[in-house]
Parts: sequence; C-alpha cells; structure tokens
Amino acid sequence: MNPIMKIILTFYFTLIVFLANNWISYAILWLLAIISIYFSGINIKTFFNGIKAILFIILITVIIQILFSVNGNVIFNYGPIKITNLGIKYGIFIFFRFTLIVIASTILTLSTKPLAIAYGIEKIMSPLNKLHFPVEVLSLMISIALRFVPTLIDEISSIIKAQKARGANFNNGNLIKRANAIASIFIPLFLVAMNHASDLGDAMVSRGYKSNVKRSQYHHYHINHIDWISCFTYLLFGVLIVFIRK
Amino acid sequence: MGDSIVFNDVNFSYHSNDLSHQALKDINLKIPYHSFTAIVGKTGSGKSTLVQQINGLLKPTSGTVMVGNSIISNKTPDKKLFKLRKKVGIVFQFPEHQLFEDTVLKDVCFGPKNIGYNDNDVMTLAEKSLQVVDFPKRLYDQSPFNLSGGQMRRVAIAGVLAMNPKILILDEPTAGLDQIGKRSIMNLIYNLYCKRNLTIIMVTHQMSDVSDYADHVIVMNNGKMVKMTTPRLLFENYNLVLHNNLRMPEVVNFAYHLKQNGVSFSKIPLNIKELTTLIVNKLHR
Repeated sequence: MNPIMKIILTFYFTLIVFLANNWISYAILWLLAIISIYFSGINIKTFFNGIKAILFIILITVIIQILFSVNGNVIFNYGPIKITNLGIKYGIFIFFRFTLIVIASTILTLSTKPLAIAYGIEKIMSPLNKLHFPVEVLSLMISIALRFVPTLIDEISSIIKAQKARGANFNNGNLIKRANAIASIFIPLFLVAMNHASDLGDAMVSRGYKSNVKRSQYHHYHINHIDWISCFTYLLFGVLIVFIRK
Repeated sequence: MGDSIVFNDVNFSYHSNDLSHQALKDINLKIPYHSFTAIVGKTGSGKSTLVQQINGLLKPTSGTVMVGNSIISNKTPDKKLFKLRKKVGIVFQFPEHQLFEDTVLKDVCFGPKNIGYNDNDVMTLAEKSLQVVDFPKRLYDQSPFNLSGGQMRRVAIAGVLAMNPKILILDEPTAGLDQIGKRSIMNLIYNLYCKRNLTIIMVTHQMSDVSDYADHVIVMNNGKMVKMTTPRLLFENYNLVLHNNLRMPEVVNFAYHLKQNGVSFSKIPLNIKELTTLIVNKLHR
C-alpha cells in the first residue's frame, strides 16, 4: 500500500475511535481492526509482542477510571472507593479506545519501512511548502534520525561495556553514584552522536547536497486499487459509526 | 603466584537459544600467568567476544572460564563478576570513546572509585597511572576532549590501569593511530608487562606487534580456536598463516623473499635485530 494512504487512514481511524460511544460501535471498530491486521500480513505473534509493553499503561489508566468514577449505581463499596456500573462500562470503553489506537499505529509501523513513513509524511505535509515551510528538509531529518537508531544502539552497548569494565555499577549504590554511572554513558554517547552528525554533514556537502534543490526519489509509490479499496472500506465503517453512535 | 586463565569447552552465542550463529565454538585453552598473548584472526572471527568472556562482560552460553580460582559460567551472579573486574582490566577498541569527566584526572579516578578505593588511594593510583602512561602533568586539569587522539588513548589506558588489574586485556590498542603513536603505545604496553608482572592479552591485526612483543599467540577463525602456539612457530608455518587470512610481518616476509632468491637462514627472524644478525652472519661466512 501507499505510505501516504496508510498514514492518512491511521489518522482517520484514530478519529473515528473517538466518535464511538456504545457497544455496537466499538464492535464495528474491532471488526475493522481485525480486518486490517489480517490484510496487513503481519504475524500475530510479532504483533502482540509489539503491543504488550503498552498494554500495562493502558490497564493502569482503566483501573484509575474504574476506581474514581462517581456516576451510576454503586455495585461495590469499600471506604472511599466506590465502583459503579457506569465506571466499569467507561473503563472498558477507554480500554477499547486505547487498544484500538495502539493497534492502528502498530499496523502502520510494522508494515511500513521507516523511510516510506518519512516519504509519506513529506508528501502529506507538502502543502506547507507554499508557506515556505522546509518540508523536504524536515523529512530528510526524520529519515536520518531513523537511519541512525541502530548505529547509536551499537555505540551505546559498547560504551556500557567499557564503563562496566571500569567498575561502573548501574543497579547498586547511592543516588549520586548511580547518576554518575549514567552520565558516564550519556556524555560519551552525545559526543559520538555529534561526531557522526558532523561527519555526515561533511559527507553530504562534499557530495553536493543543497537544501533548496529539488531531490529525486529512489522509490516511487503509486496509488493502486488496493489503496482505493481500503480507503473505501474505512470510509464505509466511519459512516456506519456516525449513524450508530448515540 | 598469579592467576592463569583457563577456558573449558566454552560456547557462546549472542542469541542464547540460537545455536546456528555461534560466536564461539568449543574453546579450550590456557593462558599462563605473566604471559604476553596475542589473539589474531580476521574480522568477525570471535576475537573480541573471546576476550570479553575473561572478565564476565559476556558469560559463556555453556562451559566455564576460570580466572585464578574464580569461575565464570552461565549461572554466575553479576555481583561476583563485579569482583572479577577488579582483577581483569579491559581496554576496548577506541577507548577514548569512554572518556566523560570534565578533567583528565577525574576521569582516571572513575575506575578505582567505583571498585571502592578510598579517596586518598584513588588520587595516588590515578596520578601514578598517568605517570606510567607518560601523560604530561600540566594537562591533568584539562578537559579530556581537548586532547589529541594519542593522548586521549593514553588517558583511557591510564583509567583502566588505575584499577590495578592483574590481567590487562587490550582490544586493538593501536587502531587509528599514526606510526609513531602506535610504536609508543606498544612500547608502553611492553614496559607495563615487564615492570608490573601483568598478564597481557592483546587482540590485534598488526602481525609485527605479534612477532615483536608476544610470547604466545592464539589464532581464531570463524568462532573456533585454530591454534595456540608461539609467534615463531606460527610464522614458520606458512600455510597456517595463509589459511586464516593473516599476513606475515614485514621482517618475516623479507626473509621469505630472500629464501626464494637463494639466501636461506637457519631460522625465521622475528624482528629487525634477529634479521640483522642473521644477515651479518651470512655475510661474514
């Protein structure tokens, strides 16, 4: 699929998630999410590994919502804590809402190469060019940042090893000692990052990079029938939800 | 008596349950106390992985590593490893990347402070090791980032020496330095070896460093130890050198060329001095 379409549809999905406010509309959204997961071709296992980390934060939000909502009939009462039927209902709705949004963005990031996402963002923001906003520079910055993530991970692990060999202890000791141990990682890391940046800058300039020249694309993305089908499906579900919501 | 290092059937894989990409396979070796051991092999042959087992930065997936009487295995708790790191110092590739304090002296103090020396001892140790690496006293309060590459490397080495290790591991200590810088760092390491009774283990691509300084050499290829031998036996064995993508040191190469042109010596010369003696003897006869 075209990355532009994917990004737009992900935003659109997030929007209609906030429109839903009863059981049926959430059921419809889940259906759409499941269809999307199925057609994205992502392995279910990798998919759930991806969202497991965030699930914990969502659950905490839900518990707070259930414990501290005051409206509705009280089902359970213990001291200052009142659990109401409406509280539980909205708790579940919030859980659905967050999970659906996380699912949508996970589909986007797992099925799209970082460079394609940068391309998509550039194209979507291209109207801003008219306001003299440097869209292409911004998208180049995004792609460079993404490109250097693995490099910096390598650097970080070698710095951690070097400081460990010098007896740095990141898990024990008082606060000052630990803060110092962490500084011993981040200061060298910043320096390495700066060096990379200035080397890259030199390399780009020496190969004739100028920010105001039109750059060509190595990959070309076209909008094909799959894009239109998914676009249409999402619109249909959106309309359905507008009618079903209370 | 000092500690020797023994590897027993060591296997190591970076992804612990995936045995198809093993970084080390069935390593058995013994590095004697107060030896100068060079580890050679092409890039990706497992040299750096091997040395990181010795102070527990990486634990063997199976098998054991013994340093003196402490044993490192898969199950060794990290707390024990912390003790081991007092004994075994590692100077990594491009050690200047580990500098972070605002003055040279403070940076050298980081190691000894971490392993629990009191403030007075830390100072003495730091100043002593900076003297050992020939670092000029007037630069002690400089920021380490204002130094030249060679000086930064000296500070980084001093930072490890200040922890007073009994075993010093160096991972390509001369990479990225100019010829004079390389020579002086190697001389420094050799002096340490002689004066402090250290056991030195050095990963290197410089064959001349192997022939000039080492008394033992370990040849690695594709995660396996091909051979542990002496530099002389290694460089006498032309095929062994060739098959493991190594090169002969210049001196040895010169002798081989002479041999091809009809001038053969009684033994392979390992350094300029030996070569000169052999040539002189030939001429006098």
